[in-house]
Amino acid sequence: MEYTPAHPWTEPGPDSKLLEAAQRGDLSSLRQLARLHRASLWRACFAITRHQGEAEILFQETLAHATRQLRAAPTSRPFLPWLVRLARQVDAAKLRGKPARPSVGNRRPNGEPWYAGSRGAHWVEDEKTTLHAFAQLHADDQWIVALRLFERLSYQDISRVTGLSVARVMNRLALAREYIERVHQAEAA
Amino acid sequence: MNHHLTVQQLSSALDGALTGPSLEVVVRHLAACTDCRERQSRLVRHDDVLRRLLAAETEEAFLEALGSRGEDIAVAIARGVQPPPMATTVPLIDEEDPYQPGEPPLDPALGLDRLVAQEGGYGRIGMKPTASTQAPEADADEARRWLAAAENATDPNAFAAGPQDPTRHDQPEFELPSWMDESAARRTSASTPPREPQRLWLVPTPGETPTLPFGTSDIGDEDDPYSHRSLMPMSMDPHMARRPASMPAYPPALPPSSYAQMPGAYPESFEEPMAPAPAETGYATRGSAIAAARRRAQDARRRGLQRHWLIAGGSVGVLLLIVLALQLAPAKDKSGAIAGQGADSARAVPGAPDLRSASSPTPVDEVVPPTPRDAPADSAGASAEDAPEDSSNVEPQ
Repeated sequence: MEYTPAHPWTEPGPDSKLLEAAQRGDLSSLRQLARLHRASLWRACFAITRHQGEAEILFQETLAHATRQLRAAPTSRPFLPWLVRLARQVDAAKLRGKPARPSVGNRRPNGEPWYAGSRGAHWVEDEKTTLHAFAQLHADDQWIVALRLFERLSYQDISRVTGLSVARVMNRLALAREYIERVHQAEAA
Repeated sequence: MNHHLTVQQLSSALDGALTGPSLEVVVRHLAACTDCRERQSRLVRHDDVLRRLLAAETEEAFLEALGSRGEDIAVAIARGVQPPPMATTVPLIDEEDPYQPGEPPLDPALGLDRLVAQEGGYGRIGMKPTASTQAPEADADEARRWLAAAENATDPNAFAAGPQDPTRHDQPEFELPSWMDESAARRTSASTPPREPQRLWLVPTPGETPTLPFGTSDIGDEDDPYSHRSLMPMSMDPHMARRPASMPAYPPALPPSSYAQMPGAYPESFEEPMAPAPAETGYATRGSAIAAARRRAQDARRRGLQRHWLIAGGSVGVLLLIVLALQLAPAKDKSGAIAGQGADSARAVPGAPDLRSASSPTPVDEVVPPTPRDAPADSAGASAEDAPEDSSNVEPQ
């Protein structure tokens, strides 16, 4: 069954039927459900971990946990927010009691080297500072920024996904951007 | 401008969330205020950087492969079977090599620029070492061969450095001069016995019972079977058969699998019996003589300590007797015994010399009283003062 939901974050689409079938033990529905949301889940895992290898592991772990907790998934609402919330919980549980991930690694998050090329070294430093500032944000604020910048959701959609008010979403997003700017100013000083 | 736009206004305008009068205010202000315009441009730049770094725009093939792996895991769990292991296409954070060059290799299509860059040392200057940071894995076969060669000292290549296989030599091979070959041949033909490496004798020689060299009577107290335990190897101790149950065997016996799990361990277990000692008795005798000497030294130390304790105890006892004797003697006025004090206070101490004051009559006066002298009347003036003074006329005061 080919289906491309326009707004998988806000529209349930065929999720409820597939989910009910998967909960009854239909493996093909389970595969279809995973295939439908794999791109969004991958982007979410990458934004959470900021590292390609870690994101691949988190992606697979999330699907494993989702299969085990499939009966707890809501059938009347979109499946993707529940899946991504599960990914955040799995990642938080993994990091509990352990040191936080480095804000800036030896390579870019996608594994490529921090090569300046023709842009110049200051460009790389600017990227590293921005990534470092993003890593310092609270996990909820990181998620709001990711929904806005990477998933390009509106304030209303973000409010529907996160359960926060629109005003709060706007305020948290503004404060996150201001924090990144202040980190840059501190680095420049 | 007296006031600037807030970050909420700039952020909302950036996201297209403002409408109506709010949007007009922001647009009008941005057209007139350079600072707010620059501030918003910085916010835009930060957003672009985050999208470039974290937007995760991947190829469809990668997503297809990753999705397949995830689906296989989910289906396996749903079926109740063991899921396949999770795999990644890049190393994890803990697995990354910090010494891997962070710069990409030079593009060979650069042509002359590439050559100039290489001549200038571009790409090599300041490059981190590319050698592996992992220690080479231990070769169990090589280690076993070394141990066997060390035990068999007749092998002339026992302690030769490098591998035995000459084809594995990295250094260029060369031939020794002929005179060196002849002298080496002459040395090997001499009737010199091979040097036996000294070995720690841990097991008794065949046919010899592990008895103590100084006889069983010198073992010591039977209640303390461990008195000599520290002086001899465990295998030589005749009390090993009677050790208490609480004493564990040493070394503790581990299952063979434990050794395989230990880093650098040999695949075989250590349960194989150790090689028997050579047939020479010299090693056994030497070992027992050393043990006997140690035992004698310990006995001497013990006897010396006992003598010292006896002397000390005797001295303390004598002092106690003296103190007791002084305490039990009849008590007298001890103050009169001190010189300079009056005779009234003198007390005779039994057994002690009769002490008297200087004014007391001498014993001579008591024994022989002074005779009265006949003195004339006209010599009434004469007084005893005229008489020559002698100590006998001195009246006690």
